[in-house]
This record gives sequence, C-alpha cells and structure tokens, in this order.
Amino acid sequence: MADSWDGPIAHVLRASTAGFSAGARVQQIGAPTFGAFVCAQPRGGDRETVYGLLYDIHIDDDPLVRQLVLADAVSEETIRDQRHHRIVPLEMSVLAIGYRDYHGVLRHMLPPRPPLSLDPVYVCTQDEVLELTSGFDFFRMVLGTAQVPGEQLLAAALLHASQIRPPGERETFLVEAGRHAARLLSSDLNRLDYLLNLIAPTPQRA
Amino acid sequence: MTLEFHKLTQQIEQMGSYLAAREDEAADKLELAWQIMEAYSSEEFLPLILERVADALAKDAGYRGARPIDEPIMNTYPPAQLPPSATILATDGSQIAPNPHGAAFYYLINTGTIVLHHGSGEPPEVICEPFLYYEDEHLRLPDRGPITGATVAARRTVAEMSALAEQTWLRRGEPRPLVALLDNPLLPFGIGKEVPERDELQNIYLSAISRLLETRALLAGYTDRPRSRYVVGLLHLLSLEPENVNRTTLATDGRLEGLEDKALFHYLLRPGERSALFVQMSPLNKEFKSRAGETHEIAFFYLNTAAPGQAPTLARVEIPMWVAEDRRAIAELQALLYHQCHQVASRYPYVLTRAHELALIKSDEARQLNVIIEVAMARYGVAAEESEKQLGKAAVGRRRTRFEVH
Repeated sequence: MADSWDGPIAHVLRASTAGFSAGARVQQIGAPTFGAFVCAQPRGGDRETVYGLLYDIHIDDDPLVRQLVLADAVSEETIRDQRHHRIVPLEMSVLAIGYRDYHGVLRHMLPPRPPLSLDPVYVCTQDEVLELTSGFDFFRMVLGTAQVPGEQLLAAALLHASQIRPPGERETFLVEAGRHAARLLSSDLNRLDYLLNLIAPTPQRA
Repeated sequence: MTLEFHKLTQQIEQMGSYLAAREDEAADKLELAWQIMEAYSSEEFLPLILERVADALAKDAGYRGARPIDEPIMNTYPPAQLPPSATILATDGSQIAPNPHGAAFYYLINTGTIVLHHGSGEPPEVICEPFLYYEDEHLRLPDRGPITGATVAARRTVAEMSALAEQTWLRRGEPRPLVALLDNPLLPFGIGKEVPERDELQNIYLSAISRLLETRALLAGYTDRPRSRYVVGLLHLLSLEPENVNRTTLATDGRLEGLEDKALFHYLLRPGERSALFVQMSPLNKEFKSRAGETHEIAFFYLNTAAPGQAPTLARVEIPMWVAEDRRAIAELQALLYHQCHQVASRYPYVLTRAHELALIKSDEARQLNVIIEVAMARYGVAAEESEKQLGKAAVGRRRTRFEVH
C-alpha cells in the first residue's frame, strides 16, 4: 500500500466529514509526517476511501511520563519500556481533501460520510499521491480551513508531491501549483507570498 | 448529600495543632534516642546488645524490636558500583473484591510482573496474569460462610509471591545479580489470624520463597516511607535496666513512644547509604524461621534513596537471611535499588511503579468486566441482576449530568 510502511499507521478514533483523528502507538511515529497524504480505508469496502492531509501529530503525557521527565538519568531500558509497553497514544489529525467512490473515481471534495472508528489509516502510495495532485482543486479546502496552518500544510504536501515526480518535472509542478494558489489568494498577498516562499526551490529571504 | 466541609473546619484546625505539638515532642524523643544510639554505636557493644535482646526474649517479655545481626547499630554503608548487567523482576497485585450485591458473585486477582534486563538497552518484558474465582470452593470459607475481603487480600499476597517466584525461576539463567522485588514487607502480616486458611496460605507463601532460594535470587520487599519502630524499640530496651525488662515496660517504647525509625535514619544516612542490618523480632518472623529454616528469617535495612543535596527519602528493605549473609550481594542490591529510584522523580523504584501499573485494575475496567460477565451469564440463560441496594447506591453515587443547550 504505502512506500515504506506497508501496514496501517493508525486507526480512526473519531471523525467527521471534514476530517478525522487517528490513534497509534508512539513507536509508530516513524511513519507519519506533517503534510503527508493519508487515507482511511473502510473495512469491508462498503464505504468510500477518504483521503486527507496530516496536519497535526499530538503526543499525550501522563503522570508517570511527567515523573520521568524530571528524573536525573533515565536508562535506555526505561525509555524503551515507555515506548513499547505503556499505552502512550500518538494522535494525528487529518484534514479531508477528497474521497474515492464505489466506482473508483477520485473526487476532490468532502466525503459523503466520515470514516468509522477503527478504520485503518495508511500512508498513500506514490500512485495515489500523483493522482491526488494531478489537479489542484483541494487547495481551496486546505487554505480555507481555519483550524489548520493552511500555508504550511499546503507547502509540506506540495513539496512531498514534487519529490515523488521525476526530477525534470518537479519545478514545473511547483510553478503550476504556485500559479493556482495565486488565483486563490489574490486578495491576500501576505499569505500568498508566505506560501510561495515555502515552496520555492531555494527558499527566498524576505 | 456531599461532604459538608464547613462542619470539618474546626476539626481540621485541631488536627493541625495536634500534629504540630507531636512534632515538637518527637524532636525531644529523637534527641534522647540519638544519645542512646551513640552510646551503643561502637562495635564492642554488639555482644552486649545481642545479650540484652536474648535476655528479653528469654524472659518472654513481648519484645518486638530489632536485633542487629553483626554490624554496629550506627554504621552506614555505601552502595556498590552499579553492576553493568542485572535481571530485575518486580511483581505487584490487585483484586476485585467479591460483591454480594453485584450481578455475579466472584472475585478476581491480577498480578503484574516486569522483567527489566538492566544494562541491555532492551525493552523489559511485562506479564499480567488475571485469575477469575467463581466456583463455590473459592467463594466459601471452610465454615461455609461467604469469603471475606481479608481472605481475598491474603490470597492476593500469596499470588504475588508465587508469581514472582515463578517468573524468577524461569529466568534463573539470566545475567546476575538476579533481583526479585515486591512492593510489600516480606513478612505477610496480611495473612492474619482472621484468615481461616492461614496455615495453608503461609505454606504456599513459604514454598514460593523456597523456590526463590533455589534460584539464589536477591529477594527484597520494599516499603516506602516506613512507619516501623523496630530500632526505636531496641533503643528503648537498651535504655532499661536489665532487671526492669518485662511485659509491662516493653508494652510501649517508654520515653521514645511514638518515635519512628525513619526519624533516626533520616539524619544518619547519606544519599544511597544503607543502615546496619537488623532482624525484626516478631512472632511471625520466628514462625518463618521455625517452619522453613534460618534461610527464611527476614532481615531489614533502611535506605536513603534521595539524590545528593536533596532531603532524605527513606525506605525499609526486607531481605531473607540467605541474602543478608552475602554483603556483596546486598551492596549490589542497594546500588540497583538506588538506580531504580532515580529513574523517576519520585524516588521510588521504577520497576515497582510499573508492576503496580500492570497489576492495577481501574474502576472502569472492573465495570467493563462486570458487563462482560453479565452478557456471558445472559447467554447461558442465567439471571444477572444487581441487588436493590446496589441499584439504589448506584443511583445516588453517579455524578449529575446537565442537559446543555447549544
């Protein structure tokens, strides 16, 4: 399924049509990254696959972790005990940017229904990312959602999508994406400038 | 109704005042105890101290204080260098007590064990073993009465020692020192006379200790913030004229009454140091020794687990005599315990914290278990209903919910 992480990276905790939160064990933090394209797969195939961008990774503490943080010198065995055995959940938040319907058609719009609790969440394959970024309709959903860091999230996703393209196509892809963003943010030049700086091949200094 | 705090205000003030007065008294008692301790601190007094204890025991004067083994009573001992490798096991237990008003009459004992391979860099092993007791033979005492909370607690104590012995036995080939830790005194005072099957449970408990002896594990029972007065009892005995030692004078600690050992060792022990080794002269310890041999007699020492520059934090560590006889092993145990206490900010061994966490049955989990049992009962056509009393209590015990308007 995914490039380097074959199994699910998490399972859905709670969801709405706008997005979902997923939980995982803390040792699974190697798989997800900010701005990654992920999907919640329905169990049984009777619902849509929901695609989204990972915009937050959150690790909860507990009283014992707080004690360990204050300790003088925590041994490797103790740290590995915490990460392997204790239920320290990693919570990730995903903004929905599209879904695939029963007929296999990918649509850049909010899904008709949210994924359900415990649906597995995977990192999208390269093919899925290429398909998702073949058009830029999802930009509006990212930039128009107040609770996500829109420019940062879109930039991270675009840089990731450019890296899986052949070297000769990467700059063209980013330039096209920048043009599309410019149309959406024509009335907010500060945001546009920030976004373009973030996706520039060599970041520009203001 | 909720607790009416305003009716407690005056009582709380009185409590504060009482505790302050008791602290003032304790300072005077501590000074006196210190003087006695210093007077007998030299090694040359050890034979005399042992003679005074032997005399009190011979008189059957009800002496319950400490007896030094062979170390001067005011000596302190630093830990050994931390062993590069060791295998540390820690076990704890918890229970769901039988509830005669619940839908089903049962109880559950859960033991949690952690096996930490010190120095390996590997994650430890964790083992949880829950056992459900629901058959008549488990729920009826020999007199056919229903099982009591005290009996379940005693069975849990035995289950903890048995689980620790079992897991230690399985790892007897692992790197040494092999440390087996319990979050309790090793002398199981919980298996008291009110427990009808006391003898049988004590035999199982002693058998588990024997199994640990076969592995030559460093068995230790850890008591945080001990309230014991064994050494104070010894100092009281030493303050008496030999002819005045009798049941009346030993019924209390006399002018030292109320003083705890930890007050003494608070000033004596530097971080990481242990006290001299003592044996507690209780009837239970005597019984252990007579039933299972000298190896099973329980000794103890105090340990200051604080970091340098911090206020002392004291623990009492109980060890069987086969460990007490090996001073190098004690120094290594001391070093490993001290290291464990510094894995967390609270100066309590990390492995015991985790064993407790593994064993703990949270109230939510107990409720879930009840639901699962009720479902299973219904599946088999067994009526599962809580008593009227339980239903009534549940109705008033719940937090009120509010209907919110959005």
